[in-house]
Amino acid sequence: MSSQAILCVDDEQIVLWNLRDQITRNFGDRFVYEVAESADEAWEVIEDLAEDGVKIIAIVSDWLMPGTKGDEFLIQVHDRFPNVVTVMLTGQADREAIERTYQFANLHAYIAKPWDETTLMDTIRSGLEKLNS
Amino acid sequence: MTSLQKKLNQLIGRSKLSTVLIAPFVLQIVGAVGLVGYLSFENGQQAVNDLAYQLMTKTSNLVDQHLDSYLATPHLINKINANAIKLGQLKINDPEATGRYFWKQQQIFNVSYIGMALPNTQFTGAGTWLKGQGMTIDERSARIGYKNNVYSTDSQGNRKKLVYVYDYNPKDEDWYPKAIKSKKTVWSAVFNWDETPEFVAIDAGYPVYDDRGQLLAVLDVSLLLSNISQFLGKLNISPSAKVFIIERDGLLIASSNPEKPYKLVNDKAERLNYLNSQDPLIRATAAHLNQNFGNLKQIQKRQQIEFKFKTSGEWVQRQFVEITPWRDKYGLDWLVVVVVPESDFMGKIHANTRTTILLCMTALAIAVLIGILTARWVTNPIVRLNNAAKEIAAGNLEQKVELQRGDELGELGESFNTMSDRLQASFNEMRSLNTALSESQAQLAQYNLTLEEQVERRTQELIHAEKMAALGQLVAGIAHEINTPLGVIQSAIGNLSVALNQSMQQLPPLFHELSPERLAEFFTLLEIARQSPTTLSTREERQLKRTLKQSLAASGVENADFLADNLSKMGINANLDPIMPLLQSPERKSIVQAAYTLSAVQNNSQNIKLSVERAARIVFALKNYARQTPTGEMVKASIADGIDTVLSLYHGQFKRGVEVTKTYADVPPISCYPDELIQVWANLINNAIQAMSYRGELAIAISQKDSGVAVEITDSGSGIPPEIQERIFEPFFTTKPLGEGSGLGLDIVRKIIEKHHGEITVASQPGHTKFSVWLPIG
Repeated sequence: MSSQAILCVDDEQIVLWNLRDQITRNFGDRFVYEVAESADEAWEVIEDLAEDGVKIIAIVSDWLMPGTKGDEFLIQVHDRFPNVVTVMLTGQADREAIERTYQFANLHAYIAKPWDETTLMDTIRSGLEKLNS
Repeated sequence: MTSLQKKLNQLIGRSKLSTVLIAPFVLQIVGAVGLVGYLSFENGQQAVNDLAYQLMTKTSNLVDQHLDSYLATPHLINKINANAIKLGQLKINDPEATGRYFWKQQQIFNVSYIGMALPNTQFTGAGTWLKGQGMTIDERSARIGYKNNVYSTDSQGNRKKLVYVYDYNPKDEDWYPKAIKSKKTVWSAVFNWDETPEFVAIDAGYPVYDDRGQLLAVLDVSLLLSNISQFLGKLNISPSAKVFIIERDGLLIASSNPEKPYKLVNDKAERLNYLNSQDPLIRATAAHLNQNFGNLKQIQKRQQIEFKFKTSGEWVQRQFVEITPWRDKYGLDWLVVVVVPESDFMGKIHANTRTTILLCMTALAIAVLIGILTARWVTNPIVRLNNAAKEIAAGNLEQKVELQRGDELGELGESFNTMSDRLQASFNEMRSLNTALSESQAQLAQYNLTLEEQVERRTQELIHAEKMAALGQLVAGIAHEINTPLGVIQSAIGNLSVALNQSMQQLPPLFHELSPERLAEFFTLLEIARQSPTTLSTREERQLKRTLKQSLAASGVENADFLADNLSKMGINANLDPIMPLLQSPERKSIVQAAYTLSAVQNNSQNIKLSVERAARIVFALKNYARQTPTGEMVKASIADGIDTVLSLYHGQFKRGVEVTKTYADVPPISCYPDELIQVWANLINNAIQAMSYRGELAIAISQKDSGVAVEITDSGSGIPPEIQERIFEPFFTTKPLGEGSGLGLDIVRKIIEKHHGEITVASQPGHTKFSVWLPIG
């Protein structure tokens, strides 16, 4: 089992299943793929993975969610894990929020819904390459 | 200040200036002149009193002296005649001789009568009593048969002829028996002569005795009291003064009044009591004396009294009275009364008083004149200043007062002119300032108008901005809501195509390799996957994955992690025993992979269906919303439809974080502006969601209340602090950070509700904030 994980956060389950399928299809068994419906759950997942010795390397997060918003969540993640690749995937987001995320969470990319699979995968890939270099 | 001073000040304050100046002046003069007049009058009065009493005393003394001398004469004559008898010079029995003797004696003393009676009733005497005969000699003797003959006389005292004969006995006279009885010289009572009753007389009788004490004769001298009256009448005391002499019984002896001191009763003379005097003054005095003294005999010494009496045609005035008792050693006891009316002396005094009054009036007139002139001299400039001041007060500022005087009033006039000039200058300045101010005001009003327009425009802009913001939010929500299913569909299509490709590749070799038992188990797995609930949450799925992994590991199945991952994705939580041989077969990874791929086809198809439904729902709500174009007219609309539209459009914003409870009673549609009401619901629901930070409970209740519909929107947010609850409907009031909210949302809500004649209230406590809207059914 891989020791690196990619986490998708979105309050829409359908979105999560699709994302997981697409990422699984593209990256195969190189990584562990986890999904969470909110920032709080995302943190649970992160803790669980950490217990199993799995490290988060990339997070794809929606912006508009109940509770903690995507920008806030990504900034918190960045504070704890500065190397995590952060991607914002959202149908609607506040411009200020995005700029804030770029500034404080070292946002790798912002992708609007509906998204193109290739674009998203290329973005994640480029983020991971940057990480490895 | 005392009340008296206050009243005085009020009185002076009300009076005109000239009156105030003149009145004290006149008062002073009237006072001084009046006082002088009064004192002079009083002094005059005192002087009159003194003078009156002096005069009366002098008169009384004069009368006394006269009476003394007049009434002493008879006794003197009697004495002379007695001596003449004793010396033998007078032969008592020779009527011729005695007659001539008495005639001669009359030439010296000129009394009323001198005579002598003998005890044999012989009588001789001389006197003037018979009318038209001058001095006659009377004889009664034996030689003429004791008749009484009256002879006229010549200038030598010789008898000329017998002119009258009458019957007269001297012993019948009062003086004869009286003299014999007292044996000394006596006075008879006052009496009227028999023959001439107008002669009121008094006789002095004197008895003459020889050496042996034999009565020789009785001498008699008669005095007419009318002579005393004549004397009194000649006393020039004062014009109206009266002097009279009375006996102690009140009978008149003599009076300065030319009246007869007797009256005839049956041809007999009766003496007059002074109470019956013809003179009113004497009568009044008599009445007063009687009243004052009661009995005249009580008066023993000189008395001075006064009484009031009104003489005819005059006013009541004082009468000064002096009563002096007069006595002689022969028994006369009379009272001399002098009465002087005050008016006799007051004439002059009154004249003086008149002069004084006239002088007073003249002085007063002059004083008033001078006072008026002075007052005018003083007040004229003041009046002119006053008029000028009034003119200024009336707005006529160009006033000049030329006084041409060097005194304080002149200075006042100059000061006034200076003041007037300055006032005019100030007024002009003020006027120009005023004009400037008016212009400024007009300008200000203009600015104000512009400002109001700007505020109005800005407010409209803000309201518009608020609408736009709400719309923007809505559009954003809708975009998200549409894009999400679209994104799902897009990726699902991709997944489907990938899954189909994979299935096409995986299935043929799998079917070829698997034994019929394994193949049956494979289909069982697919059937389990198909029947598995597709709505597992990520948490449940993770839990399932964990359970499956443990269960597989317990059964000794290899690749448990991979298998659990794929099985959990398929939602398989059923008993794994029927497929356990399949999971334990060497091809287990490719089998489960293929099963997952096939179930993904199913899942993605399901997702596409759900997404299409969702997009369709959004579009439907949007269509509802868009249909609410403002027409300006009220239409019948359902409140529940409006709220549901908003809930649909905002669904993406709360999703699973907010639990919506709807309690809708069956209420009739109401007359309203639906587009505006949707703005109300959108605002309230949006506020509620934001207050809960997109997590909590949202309760929406619709019920019928009175003749309207009540909508209650309750959230479980942190609540509105009491101190701002009353302010939340104010325009521009916001708790959001600057720039995030216009503060107009609830203001617009309130305005819309008021436009519908409804009400909106709020009740809030932490965890329970309720906005209650009531709208009439209309």
